[in-house]
Amino acid sequence: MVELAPTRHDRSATPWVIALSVATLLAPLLARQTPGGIADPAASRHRPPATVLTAIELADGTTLLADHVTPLPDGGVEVLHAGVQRRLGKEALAPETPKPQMYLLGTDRLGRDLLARLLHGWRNSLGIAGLAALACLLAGALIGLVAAYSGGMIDRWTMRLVDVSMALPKLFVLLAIAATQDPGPLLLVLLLAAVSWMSVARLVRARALALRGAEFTEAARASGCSAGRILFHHYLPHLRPLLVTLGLLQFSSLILLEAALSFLGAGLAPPTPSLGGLVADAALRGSTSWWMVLFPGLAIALASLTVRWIASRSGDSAFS
Amino acid sequence: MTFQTRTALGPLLATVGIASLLAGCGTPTALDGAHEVRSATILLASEPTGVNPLISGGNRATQDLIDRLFLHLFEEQPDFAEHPPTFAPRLAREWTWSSDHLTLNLTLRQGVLWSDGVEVTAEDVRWTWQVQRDKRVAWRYAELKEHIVDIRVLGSHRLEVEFDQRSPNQLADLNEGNILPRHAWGRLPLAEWPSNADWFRRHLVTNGPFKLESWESQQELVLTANPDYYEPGLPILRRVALRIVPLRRNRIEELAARRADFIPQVTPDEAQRLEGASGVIVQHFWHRQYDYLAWNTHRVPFTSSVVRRALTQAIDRQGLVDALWYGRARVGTTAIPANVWAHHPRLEPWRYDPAAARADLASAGWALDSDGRPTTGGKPLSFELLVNAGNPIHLDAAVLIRDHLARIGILVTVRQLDFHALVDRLDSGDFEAAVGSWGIDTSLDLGYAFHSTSLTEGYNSGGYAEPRVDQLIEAARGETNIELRRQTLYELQELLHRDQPYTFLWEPQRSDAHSTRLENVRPNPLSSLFRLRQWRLAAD
Amino acid sequence: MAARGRLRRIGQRGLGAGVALWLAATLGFLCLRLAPGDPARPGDPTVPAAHSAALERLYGLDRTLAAQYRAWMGSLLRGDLGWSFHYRRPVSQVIAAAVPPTLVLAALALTLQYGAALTLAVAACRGRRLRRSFDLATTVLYAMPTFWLGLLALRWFGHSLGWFPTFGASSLATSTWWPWWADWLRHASLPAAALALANLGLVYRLTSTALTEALEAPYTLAARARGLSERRLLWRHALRNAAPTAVHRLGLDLPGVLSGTLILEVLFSRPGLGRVAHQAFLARDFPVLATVTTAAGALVILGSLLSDLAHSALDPRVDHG
Repeated sequence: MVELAPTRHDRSATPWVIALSVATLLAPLLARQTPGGIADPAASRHRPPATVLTAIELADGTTLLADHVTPLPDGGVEVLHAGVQRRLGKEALAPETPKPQMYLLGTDRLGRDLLARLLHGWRNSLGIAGLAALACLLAGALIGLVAAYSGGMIDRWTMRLVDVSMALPKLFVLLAIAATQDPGPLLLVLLLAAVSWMSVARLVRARALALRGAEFTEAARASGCSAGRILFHHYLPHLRPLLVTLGLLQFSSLILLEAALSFLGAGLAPPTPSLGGLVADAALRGSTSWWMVLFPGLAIALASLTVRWIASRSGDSAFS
Repeated sequence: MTFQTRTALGPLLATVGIASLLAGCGTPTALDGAHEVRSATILLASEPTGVNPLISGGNRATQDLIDRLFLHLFEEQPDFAEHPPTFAPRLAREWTWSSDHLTLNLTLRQGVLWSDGVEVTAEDVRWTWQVQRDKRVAWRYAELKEHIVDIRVLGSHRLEVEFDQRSPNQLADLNEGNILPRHAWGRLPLAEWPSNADWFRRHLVTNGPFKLESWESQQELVLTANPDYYEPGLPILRRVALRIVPLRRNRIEELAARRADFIPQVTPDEAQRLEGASGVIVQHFWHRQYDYLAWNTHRVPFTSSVVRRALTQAIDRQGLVDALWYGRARVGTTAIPANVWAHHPRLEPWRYDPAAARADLASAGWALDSDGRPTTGGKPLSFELLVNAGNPIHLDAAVLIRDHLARIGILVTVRQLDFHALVDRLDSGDFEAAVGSWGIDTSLDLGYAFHSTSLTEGYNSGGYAEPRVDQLIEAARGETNIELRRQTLYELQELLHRDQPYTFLWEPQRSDAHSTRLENVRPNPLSSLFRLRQWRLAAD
Repeated sequence: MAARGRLRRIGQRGLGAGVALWLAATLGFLCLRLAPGDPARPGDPTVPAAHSAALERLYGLDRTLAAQYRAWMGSLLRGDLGWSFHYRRPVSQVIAAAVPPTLVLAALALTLQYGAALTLAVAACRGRRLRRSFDLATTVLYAMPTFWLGLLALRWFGHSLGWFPTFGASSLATSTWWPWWADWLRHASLPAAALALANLGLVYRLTSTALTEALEAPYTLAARARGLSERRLLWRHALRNAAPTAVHRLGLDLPGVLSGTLILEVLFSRPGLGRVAHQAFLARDFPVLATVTTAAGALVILGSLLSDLAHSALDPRVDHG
């Protein structure tokens, strides 16, 4: 049975999508609240989650990150810095008071706060996956609609193209193309969309075919509507819930695909942070700490799950 | 229990059963029965590309393999700290120079056999030299032999080598390249050599301490001791397996769990981890290498040596060493590392001094604008820093350098490229700054990077051209008196220090790790597997 | 009649496979021509000039684009795939050596994935709460990146516990007391298990939905009313009706499994098409990159052809379409 009327479900997805987008875009602002920069790598590297270090500004402009600070009566301080007890006289210190900083998720190899990198990486990865999902949805929907409406040879050959494109393993294709140019963000979005549009086209075409057989199409054609008008004015409202769900599901898959690509080194190039790149950074080197692998991986899983959950609340119940 | 659970249990039990069968009593060590057969396992990062040194390219793994299979005339010794390295006899038993030092009279060892029983003779040496020079084979080091005019066979084991000029590198040049079997490999026409790497593997005839028993593509190679090797009692190990494990993490974990015996080249943080594991020894040694930041002296603002010096002073190189090397490197000052005999001992590294850097930049016309950024003509100072994508330490260094320079208001964009793309950009001069490293050999000819002709024929990508430097390089090339050569090189280093065509970042140690099972492992800058034939098991 | 329908179907699928292979080959050509600079001349100066010359002849780079395309197709059909810069060997050798380990890993992963998914789906029929918890668990697993699951498996079961080997496809030269097939299986177990866990979510859902539908369908109710035991119901009717869904899904899953084997081969240092592709990517070895994409596509196409045949064998209705 074909759902001809837009259901109520699709409205409940929109606020969640907006919330996710806003959170993603604003994530780097949150990162500003975390300890930033690479002030003192030798002292702050490989620190476990919830480490607190005190930032001491020195007179020569550098910063010291110390574990313990004990003020001395003569105005200097005694610090435990990188495992060594040191004493700093008053003249070595800058006037700013030492500030304790919490590294909530620990630090990486260079002493950078993992939470800050995670937030930036979240924006980059989800941004790319989201734009790719959008592009993939547009391309797939267009192709599916045109194929369904045209029928005949165009439909057959388009579906053959779809079938055949789906047979190529995505990562192999992506690696091959990424080797030819170092992909910037735009090219990455296009590449990801180019390997993912096929399933959208298939499903949209199936639904549009059903619509083609419905009575209102006959009526519209009889009253002289052009194909474009029929497609966009009449079909689209019926397809909207499907499109929303498909777009979100693609988003969820693309998050994983982008992460895999960045993990292999074919996505966003370091040092730009990306979720998959953070895992690769930690896991492929010989020495690593568990928090450097756990948190980015959890973030990817969380992102994918969240989007999938939003999709299940939206439009088509057939896909929940 | 309802039927569903039972039907589900069936396949589940089967899967668990099979899995436990396969997992068994843990993984057998890679050295089953190793105490009966004295063997060791070495983990390599990449696969050797072939057994013929003239066509297989220069990667380290390939050369290490070939050096176990084929002999050289001499064995270069790692004693270059005080003086140019000496050479020990290997295939050549003794040698004498003529009075003008242009003719070398060599006597080969008797009784050294190829693996098919044929004796190694002077004909092999002469033929090897001819093949090394042949254009059809196109050996990449052929130019090292350009000063050898002729090699004459005087007897089955006696040779005369004639040079066209006296230089400090005559023996080194002669020694470059293993001696190959004329009777076996001479059968293939030279024009077909480059395309037939497999033919050489199938018709492998060797004379070194080890023989190649098997080669499973992309997985492992197995070397076994050569029973006819000329040194009595060597090699001590009967079997050495070279396993190819591209992922760093895997190699480290396998050694830490003592399922492997040796890994060449671990990074400093990995060395920290391994030193914490019991049963693993990490050996550190000063390498003949320096890492640097190359400036393109043809691009503004790097045209001015004042600016280059300022940038050097704006980078906290000791901080880099502390952050990246865990104390296993020292700040660099010059193009000759400190453990080589001609290193200038009195050069003071430029100190990390951001204030002085700002002042220098201002004096060169880059005054600070309202945002605190050095600016000239309204344009703030910024540049793109290129890094080799395959070198994780360089990438980390670039990130730290970006941070240091940001403190004085310079904006750096880090871009990582794969190795060949990077080399392309450097060769064409299409770059502003790049991080790189040089491993130097004992010829100490600095022309490759600093001579003005190397702009087109060498690796002087930054385009540095200084007439006095050219003169000094040429003088040092031909000078055979050690003291004079040393003084020339000192003056050269002083000029490089003043001009900073490179910011010399650091000179690293190299760390190789092995399990306590092995003894007498002595890696050095020449090779991690130096004298593999003398490695033995600690239990013996 | 059925035979003619089946033949026609096989013919159609064969044609489709041919077209798919052609597209994969064209993609390889595209990759070659998009490569910066001269694809016959790598940036590496140590690659023998003879290799570059051979590649130039093969690719016909001095001719028009159309002629180059014909040359590329021709060389593929002849089996002359050019020279690898990175391996210094003919590409055909590199790829031929890489196919068996990938096949082993993919086959084992698919077996474990479908076996586990079917087992879970059957078990989920037991009750609503069990089904809900399985649904949740498999959804969460499905949302985890494959490389992350692989990393965790590698770390816990490989490095920490040492239960499984962590690199290579076999270690025959050094561990001689396993029979060869057990050695291969042992090395493939951990990566295959990780891949299976990562991918089973979707298959589980589909099968579990199909099973539930079958169990609530009119014919099942009728059979139950006739007094058939639950077990017979499950096996004879429900599972047999759900099986074609699974087999059909198998064909669609193949590209994903191959992409997964790429990641796991990199993580577990296993030889195979995936590792060849990754190393070729790192080294910008274009002759290999172009061909390995085609080879991976060819594997998928052949595999889906086989699964299609199995599908039509299982479900006679398909042939009459």
